[in-house]
Amino acid sequence: MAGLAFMLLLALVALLTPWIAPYGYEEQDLALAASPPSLAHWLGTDTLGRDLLTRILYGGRVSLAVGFAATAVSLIVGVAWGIVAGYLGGRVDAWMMRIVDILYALPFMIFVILLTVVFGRSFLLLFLAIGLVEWLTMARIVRAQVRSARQQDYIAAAEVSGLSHARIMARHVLPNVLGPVVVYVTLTIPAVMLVEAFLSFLGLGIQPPQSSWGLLVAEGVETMEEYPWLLLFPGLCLSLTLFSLNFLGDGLRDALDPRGRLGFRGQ
Amino acid sequence: MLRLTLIRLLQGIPVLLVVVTITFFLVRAAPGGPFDAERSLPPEVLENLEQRYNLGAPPCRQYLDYLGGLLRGDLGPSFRYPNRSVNELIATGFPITLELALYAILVAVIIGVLAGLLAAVRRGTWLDHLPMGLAMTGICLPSFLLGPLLVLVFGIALEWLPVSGWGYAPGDKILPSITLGAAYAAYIARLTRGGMLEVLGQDYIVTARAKGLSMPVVLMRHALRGGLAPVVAFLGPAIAGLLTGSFVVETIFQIPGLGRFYVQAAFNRDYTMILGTTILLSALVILFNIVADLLGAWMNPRLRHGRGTA
Amino acid sequence: MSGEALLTVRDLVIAFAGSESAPVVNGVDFHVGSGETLAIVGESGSGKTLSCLSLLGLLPPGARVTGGNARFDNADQFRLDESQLRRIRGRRIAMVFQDPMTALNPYLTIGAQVMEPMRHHLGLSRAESRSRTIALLEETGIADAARRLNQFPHEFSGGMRQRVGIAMALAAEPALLIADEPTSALDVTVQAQILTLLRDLSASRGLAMLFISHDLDVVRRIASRVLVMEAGRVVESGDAGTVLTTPEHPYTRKLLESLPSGPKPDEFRFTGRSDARALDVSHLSVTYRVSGEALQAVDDVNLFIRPGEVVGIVGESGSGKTTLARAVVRIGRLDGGEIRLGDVALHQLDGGALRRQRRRVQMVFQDPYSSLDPRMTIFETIAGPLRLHRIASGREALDSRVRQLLEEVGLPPEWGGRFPHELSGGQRQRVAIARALALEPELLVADEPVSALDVTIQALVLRLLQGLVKQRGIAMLFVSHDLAVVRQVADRVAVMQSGRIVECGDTETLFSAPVESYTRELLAASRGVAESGATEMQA
Repeated sequence: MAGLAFMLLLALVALLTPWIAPYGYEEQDLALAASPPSLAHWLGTDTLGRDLLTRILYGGRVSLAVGFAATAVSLIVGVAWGIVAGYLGGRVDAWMMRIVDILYALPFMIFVILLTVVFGRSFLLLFLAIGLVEWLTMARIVRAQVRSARQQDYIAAAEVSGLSHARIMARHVLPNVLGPVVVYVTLTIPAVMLVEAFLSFLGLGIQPPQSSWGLLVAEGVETMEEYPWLLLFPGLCLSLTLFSLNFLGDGLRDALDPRGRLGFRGQ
Repeated sequence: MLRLTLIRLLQGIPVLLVVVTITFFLVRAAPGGPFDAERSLPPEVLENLEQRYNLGAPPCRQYLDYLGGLLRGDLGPSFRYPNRSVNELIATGFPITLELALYAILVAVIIGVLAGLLAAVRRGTWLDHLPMGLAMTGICLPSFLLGPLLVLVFGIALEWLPVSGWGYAPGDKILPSITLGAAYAAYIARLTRGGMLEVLGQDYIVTARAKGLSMPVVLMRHALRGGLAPVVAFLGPAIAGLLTGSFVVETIFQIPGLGRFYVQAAFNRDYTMILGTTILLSALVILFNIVADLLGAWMNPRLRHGRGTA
Repeated sequence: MSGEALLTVRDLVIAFAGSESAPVVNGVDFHVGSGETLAIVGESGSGKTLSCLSLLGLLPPGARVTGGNARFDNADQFRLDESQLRRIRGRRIAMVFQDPMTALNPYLTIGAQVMEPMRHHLGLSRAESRSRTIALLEETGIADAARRLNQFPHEFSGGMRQRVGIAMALAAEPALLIADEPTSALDVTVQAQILTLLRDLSASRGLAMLFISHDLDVVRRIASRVLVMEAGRVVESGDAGTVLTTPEHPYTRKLLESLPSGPKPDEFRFTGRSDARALDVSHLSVTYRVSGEALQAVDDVNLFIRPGEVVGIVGESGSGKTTLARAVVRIGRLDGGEIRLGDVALHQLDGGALRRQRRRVQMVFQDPYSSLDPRMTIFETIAGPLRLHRIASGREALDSRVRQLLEEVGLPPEWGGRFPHELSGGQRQRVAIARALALEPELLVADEPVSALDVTIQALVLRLLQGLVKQRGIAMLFVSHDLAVVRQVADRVAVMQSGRIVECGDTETLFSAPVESYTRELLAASRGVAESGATEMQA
């Protein structure tokens, strides 16, 4: 629950950033360049005299946005793919999952880098690219769920009672798929944020003057000997966020253990 | 088993071909020519360059030529460093990257499996919670953060270990290997724990205990093989992750490996270099996936003895 | 029959840590001597398995012996530490488990697993334990043991695996063998073979045996003494012949009365017209493809059921009986043949046309834990089909109809708001029956509807089902592996083997004068249980 609360807080802060950030995004005070944390600048300033807290807030917006947007792409593609393969079964299923297997065996980070090179470093394309490679696991999970749900006798019972396939999907299969999908979504968001940070760190992701946590960490590394807070605070933000999301996902997974007979009382 | 190996290897070939094709045309479709930087080249120089890089021919022709070169093991000349071939560049960087990845996977497997075993056997005690807490931290501490932190502590503050380089000073391989391997050790620890707990709940473990075997024997002889199956399945993706993860670690520790070349090539739009490296890494990853697959099959008698395709 | 007890358990109490409720095993006494077989009988939750596991210190996490003692080899088993227990396990007390499919390690060869106790406890050399293993496997009925030594469990059938499990238990020559439902996962013919094997082995080796079972027919055949347990307590014990013929405790009597036996009660017998047809199946076939090979799961089956008649299908696992049942209700594959339901050619329909006919044929499934959607209330489960086929609409009409159905299947009508996990297995199966009857079908297909239930519950559900079917004049196709159950339920019986009906006829005629050799084999295997039990009792 702590994970969930932290997540909501983050989302809220990201939404309200323009109003709560103590300074303007581009606001510089060269006289105060690279000053350690103080009352005026809670987390200090960077080498160009910009307020670090403000930069982290705006960077967080970008990181979270990429995380959520790319996860949404992977959710749509993965769930559609998994449901179709799982429900149709047979040869269609075999082919669709074979494709997933093949894509799985590819070094996807290299492809993301390749795509950023080819299509330029636009924000939109970046998360599209990440989303398009992150759907594989989602598709596998959804398919496995659909297949195991299909083998349950209550699906057969629903069919015997005269329910159509579409309504069986909606009434009996989908609710069973939902739990694991929610769990996996909470685990995909941090994974995607990590990819974004990774790319930005290498200078292949978000471009300055825009900022993200990965980029802030990269800038912090360059000056970490002299101004360690420039590395520590963005790093801490990133790690804490990843931690809370992973923690949330783990907790949900334990709560929704698909093998547990109980759990999930009603809607 | 031999038949399975052959089948898997043969299945790898079309996959690689698809990768080559997609990469080739993606790179060709990239906006901006490779020589945009050098403005207003004299036409004869440009023509000379185009001929050298085989850019004059129609795309399909170029593609076939490239495939031909690939079959001979020739990846063409570098765009960025006209005097050096991609092969040469790869030859200097690749061994370093491979060595780094190897050490990292050793770190990951040894630490991960031991920690996971400990946690599974001592489930619910602090010997479970501590390694699993560390594992969670490891997963949430990306290499580009862990690396600099390790440098700050062990390199700069304590001055125990060199902060950069590869093979220049004693001990300079330690920090990069740990930085790269840590997250994978964490993940493997979780997989090992999960796998072992699953197996330890099986009926045949009770059977083994009912025979009067001691717990270490039950673990090693009866549980380990099944419990490590998820770890083995993860090795393929892990190698892929390690090879790309080395990009960051090589940047942090200024290691002249393939990863740095690749990132440089991406910056400089050195298309032949990107193409060559992507193909090489993809081939490696596909190969390691096959190896991990076969290892998994070999460990499972049901798959080892033929008929099963599942 | 034996002078001195090998094992004496006094006042055994087992409780789960942290649970407020009563101990799961409470004050159990028993003893067993060499060459003697004590059967511990009870339904699920009676504590019979826990009592035996406690002797080996193998209780599941959370469960603990909190009282009593177990004298064996001049020591109290409950006072031994782990290393002392290890010297007992396998060497002095060995165990055979219920499910031979999961009790063997899939990663190790059969030879390695049987040799393990010999090498560990007896310190035999590799060569010596190998030759002993071959002899032992041959003794337990595995031919060509020298070659099969190097095979893995998945290369063995269920019955063969159980033979390996027995060989493994006997490897270090224990004095006491605990057999936990060793035959309940096996087909009836295999079951008979394993029982004979166990009996012969215990006689030839002078083994003491604790035989845990829920099945009184099996117990009758193997036990010299019987201990009946209910909810953690011993309700009755004594000589097998006495307890099983003249039981004193009402629970034992109930168990015995619940055993399906004898012919179909007259009140449920078919009395309708002989020329009418509720279901007419001809030349039905279903083919599966297993790794490129075609498997004829149902092979040219012809069958009819009259309105109000019950036709039983018996067969062992893999005989195709479930595939046939599913094909008849048109779920799963159908590759050829005709299914006529009254005047409707069911095999020709699909899509909406098929869905509209579905209310005429309904099904009850084997596993009541998977046949109800865990996320739906009982009300929703039963009301769904009613609404779909517009049998009742409007909240009030639906409500009263569901309440009425619940009452008919013997459940409190106000239980509509409950979820499946709040119900026991028997109660769930009642809900499943209510759902099937809600649509007022002409034909009910019941696929092993009682085989997942305890024997006392089984008898109640069976009686309920028979009553409802008879009262409504519904035709029923009743699939089961249990011949005694089928004999009680069916007017006519069809015996299936490898996808074909090998024999079909009036139930009593078929049971008393079977024509086909397979039918005779099947009947002998199941009847053998009862008959040899009877001879033993006379002895």
